[in-house]
Amino acid sequence: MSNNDSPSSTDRTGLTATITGLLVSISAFFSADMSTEAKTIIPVIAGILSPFISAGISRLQRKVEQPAELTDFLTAYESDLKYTKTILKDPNLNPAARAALERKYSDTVLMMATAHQDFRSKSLGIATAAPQD
Amino acid sequence: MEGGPLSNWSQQDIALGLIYVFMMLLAPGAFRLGRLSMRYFYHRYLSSEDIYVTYQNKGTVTNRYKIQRRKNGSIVEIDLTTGQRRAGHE
Repeated sequence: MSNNDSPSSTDRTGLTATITGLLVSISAFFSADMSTEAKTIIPVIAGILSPFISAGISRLQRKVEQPAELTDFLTAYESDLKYTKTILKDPNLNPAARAALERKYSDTVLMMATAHQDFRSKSLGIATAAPQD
Repeated sequence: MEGGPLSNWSQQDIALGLIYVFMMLLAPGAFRLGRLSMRYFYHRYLSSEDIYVTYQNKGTVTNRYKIQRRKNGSIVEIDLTTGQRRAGHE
């Protein structure tokens, strides 16, 4: 995914303005019988709400824009962590095995924590097809 | 505005027109967000492809392995440099 695809501050401002306009327009359907004071306050409320809606959309966008390979990588380790956690709950696990699993768990968490940074710096390469070399 | 271009429009007609305009403004972004969300959903919840991982340090490959996913959520890491199974919570 290129850098051009990431949302800029101008896009965010435009999105906020559009959402404000949309909220004000929608409110016109319900405000016909309202008092003048109530009608006056609706754009103010829309103006307050829209940056939060816009921020939520931007947050969702950042999440789904993540490269597909990185999503695959993180999901695989995340489900592995869940599985490890399930095993660690087993009361019959001997201390040595438990210590080894806990060490592996910590290593995986550390690797996941640095995965985004490593992927961006190209020190981590992920592919779903076998490399040709 | 007697006889103006919007003289026959009620408040609700104008509101509906504006909603259409704002929806059209939001449509490209919504389409893109929907497409990316579908892709994310597939890779997050449905995909079970093998993953080939390569770690590099200043252009030199330091580690290369394949991740195979199991149905129970566990993974198997197969070291591609030696062809051995390195880990796997089986």
